[in-house]
Amino acid sequence: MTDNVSNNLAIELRNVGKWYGQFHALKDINLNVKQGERMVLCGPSGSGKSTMIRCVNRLEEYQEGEIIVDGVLLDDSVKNIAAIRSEVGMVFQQFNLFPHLRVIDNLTLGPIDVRQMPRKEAEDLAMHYLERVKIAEQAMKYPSQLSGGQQQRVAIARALCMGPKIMLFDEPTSALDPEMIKEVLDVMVSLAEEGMTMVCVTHEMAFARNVADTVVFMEDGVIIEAAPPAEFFDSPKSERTRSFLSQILTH
Amino acid sequence: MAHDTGDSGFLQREGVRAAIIQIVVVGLLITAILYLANNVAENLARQGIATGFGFLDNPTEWDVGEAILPHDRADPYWWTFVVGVANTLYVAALSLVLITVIGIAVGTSRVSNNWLLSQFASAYVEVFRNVPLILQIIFWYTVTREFPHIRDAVNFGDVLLLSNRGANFPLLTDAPGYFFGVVAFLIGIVATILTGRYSEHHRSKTGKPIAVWPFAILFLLILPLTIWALLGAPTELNNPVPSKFGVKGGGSISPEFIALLLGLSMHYGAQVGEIVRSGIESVPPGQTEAARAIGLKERRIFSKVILPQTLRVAIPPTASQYMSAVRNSSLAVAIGYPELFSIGSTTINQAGQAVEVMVIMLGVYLVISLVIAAVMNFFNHLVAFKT
Amino acid sequence: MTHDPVLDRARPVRRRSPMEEKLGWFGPIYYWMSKNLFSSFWNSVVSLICIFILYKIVPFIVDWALLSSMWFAETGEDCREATGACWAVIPVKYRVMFFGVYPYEEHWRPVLAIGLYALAVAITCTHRFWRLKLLLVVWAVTLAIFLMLMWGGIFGLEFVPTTQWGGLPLTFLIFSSSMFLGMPIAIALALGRQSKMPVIRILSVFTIELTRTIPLPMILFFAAIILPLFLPQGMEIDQLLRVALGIAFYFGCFQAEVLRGGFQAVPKGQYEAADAIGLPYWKKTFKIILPQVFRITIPSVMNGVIAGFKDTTMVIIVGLFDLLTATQAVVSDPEWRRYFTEAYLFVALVYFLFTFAMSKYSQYLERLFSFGRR
Repeated sequence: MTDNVSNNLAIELRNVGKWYGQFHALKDINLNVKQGERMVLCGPSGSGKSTMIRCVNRLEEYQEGEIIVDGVLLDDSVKNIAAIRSEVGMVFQQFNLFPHLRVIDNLTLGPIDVRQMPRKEAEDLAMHYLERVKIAEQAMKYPSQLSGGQQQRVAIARALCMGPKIMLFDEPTSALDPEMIKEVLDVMVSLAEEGMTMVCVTHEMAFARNVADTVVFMEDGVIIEAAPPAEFFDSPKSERTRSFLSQILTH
Repeated sequence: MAHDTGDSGFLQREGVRAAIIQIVVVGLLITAILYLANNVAENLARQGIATGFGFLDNPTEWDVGEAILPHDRADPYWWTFVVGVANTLYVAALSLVLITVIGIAVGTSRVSNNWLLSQFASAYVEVFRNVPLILQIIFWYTVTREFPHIRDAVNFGDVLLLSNRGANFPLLTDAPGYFFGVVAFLIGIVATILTGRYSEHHRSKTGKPIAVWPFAILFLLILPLTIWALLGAPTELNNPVPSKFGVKGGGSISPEFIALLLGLSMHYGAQVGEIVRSGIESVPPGQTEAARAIGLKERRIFSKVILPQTLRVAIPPTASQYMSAVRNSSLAVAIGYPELFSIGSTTINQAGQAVEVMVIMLGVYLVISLVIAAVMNFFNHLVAFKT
Repeated sequence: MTHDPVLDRARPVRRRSPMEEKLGWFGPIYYWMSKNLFSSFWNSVVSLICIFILYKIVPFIVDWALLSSMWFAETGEDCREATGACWAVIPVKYRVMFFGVYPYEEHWRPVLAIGLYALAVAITCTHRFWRLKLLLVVWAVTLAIFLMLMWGGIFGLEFVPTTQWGGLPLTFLIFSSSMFLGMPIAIALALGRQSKMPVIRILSVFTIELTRTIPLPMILFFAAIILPLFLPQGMEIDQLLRVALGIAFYFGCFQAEVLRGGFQAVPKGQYEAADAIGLPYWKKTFKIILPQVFRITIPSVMNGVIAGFKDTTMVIIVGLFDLLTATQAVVSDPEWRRYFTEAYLFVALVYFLFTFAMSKYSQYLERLFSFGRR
């Protein structure tokens, strides 16, 4: 039931619905993310964008519809969830680095514990990604000794160490001081340039305009508009998109 | 142009005022101490009670009851105090172990996925935290005292006898089979712990997990049993044999001891359980999310992400509960278990050396507290966040 | 195995699986059970053990406490007819438990005193009445009337010496005195501990640390038996007062540490702003710093208060006749001795209700000051 249609689709959401108690957080969501696509989700707070990507790696459960990740149906089955989580990496707004472990141990925990990789190999892998995010010299430090921007870059490297095919970003720069946003965005841009499938919830519109293949606007749990950046920013179709853009682009 | 407010005399200067206040305080303190000491001396002299610690060499002339060290009436007072301290340490050590076990079990059960288990644990905590400790101790004491007379003792297959004199149970004889079997078991505990650590170390080096449970069975079960069998497989036990005058043989624990141990362990076990639960819940949910996102299994998330962070938060308040438990072992005075405070108060009654005895008890509790504090500080440093 | 606050944040309306559809109304129950009780092998084992324990215990308790029990009886002998609990001990003996050896005909006085006390507590707990001077007046008046009612000797009331006071009024009296005497001690010691004057600081630290090492029973013993030695001949302080002072001092030293944490948590800018305005030390402390300290430390302070209430039971050691001691006296009566479980359970319930109410109030206060996770 999941194979033929989704061959080059990384993520498919079909008629997805989610409730928090009585609150209808996601309403009949239909969205496809192709392999290698860079998608940006934007919208006012409470619109359901974070909820949606958190459903993709089962940090939230959905009640209606289907979510298919890389050909695997996301349901209650522990096997499916584990398979999907190994394909999908996530970067959080609050970084969520493990404070009791050094940077390098934060990165090697997953490969050693889940992929049963020997420590030496895991550490080489970790150093490779730390260099990628330009923070190799901090490998032996503890997260509390790093700045916010540095921590977030470590978090990205940690996600990359599990070799995901898809990267989800949940407002990665919202908790950062302005001068540190650029260093994180630079890393995300370089990831995009390498062809990683990315779904990114963010308010950084410059990033969206320059990097995204598709920009999606959500409000009140519904997808209002989805279009390539040029079309989205210059000639938005919906009135609500226009009003949102006018609010967010005035600075 | 700066001008003087006019009343900045010598007395208004900050440093001087502080100095004067302190001198006055010290002066008052010394005066008070001298005055009180004088009162004490007068009052004691009037009652014909000598001062000084000389009384410690006098024979005690009363019995202590139960003790883990030998004692009789002719022993000097200082030995009686030593016996009391030994009893305190004995009940304190056992209850600290029980408290830790109960605390961890209850705390982790409260956050368990299993609804029944977490409700049980919640009920336990609510009941045993909120009922005052001394009420619990008195209750258990009354329970054990209401057991039947030794003649009609509650009998669990001649292995365990419960009566109003406490519990009687069989002891292992000193046959070599038992002795070395027990030694092997104790070594086995150490071996299992070491195996666990090695397994974790191996896993973090190579990624491949080693199952510990086969080794546990080997060290804790198979090896001790083998040694026991090789050395003659003794099956004789030193059984408690009820007779007209009591019980011959076997080991026993008194109702006082049982009550104190149960009361302290269950009450402070509940307190520590709360601390453990609060520690686990204090770990930000984002940690669990990030660990899940990487793909760690639930059990590994608990042991590698949640538990280390819980320990850091939970150790200081647990240390303070330990110290509270040891201090409140003095409630034994309400039920007559002869630990340090009971003995102290009896001594004051019998020999009248109130101040000296208080000083001695003070000193002992101080030392015990400091030792516990030092040990817990050591553990604290072991698990502290390194920054 | 850990409880996941994320997934549990809401219980969403779920689409039912086909199995549930078949089970109809039982479906959601089945789903809940499979998630919470039987989600894995070990989980199921644990659940089965729990269910087995419940199966053995619940009928036994229901039978003992309710079905086979006797609620009213004249004497202990009558109660032997019941195979279960003899709750009759409570209606027969509750006066002794609650009022101790206070003269029987005068029991209306402690009842009135307790009622007044409850009123004062209610006023103190209501946010609207939180003005220091008002509360002080309320409590001063309550204390005066309380003592007058209990002591008597004026207004035609028969005199009852403190040695005959007992039970609940005594517990309340000891509890409130130790709180009201203890908090000023706590504030004084906490302030002393961070004084810039070395003598004061060292004295405070020494006092706090020493008192916290000593078991409370020892302090009570000291207050009751040893303190008279320190007084000049002829001077006597009422034993009740001495014991209350002992508990107050103990309580104060522990709360001093709690307050210290609060002092450290008040942002340095507050001290600096007050200094910049030119506020002298005592004004600064009482008008600016202390209110903030209390706001921050409410949960821990309330914890200490609840612990203090439970600690009042320790006066049994020095022979004061509080609620617990009175219950023990009831149990010593040979006629009712075998029903000690019922009596102790009852008294435990009373204490439980008080501490439960206090912790609920503490949670209410926390919410009022918006503490904890929202």
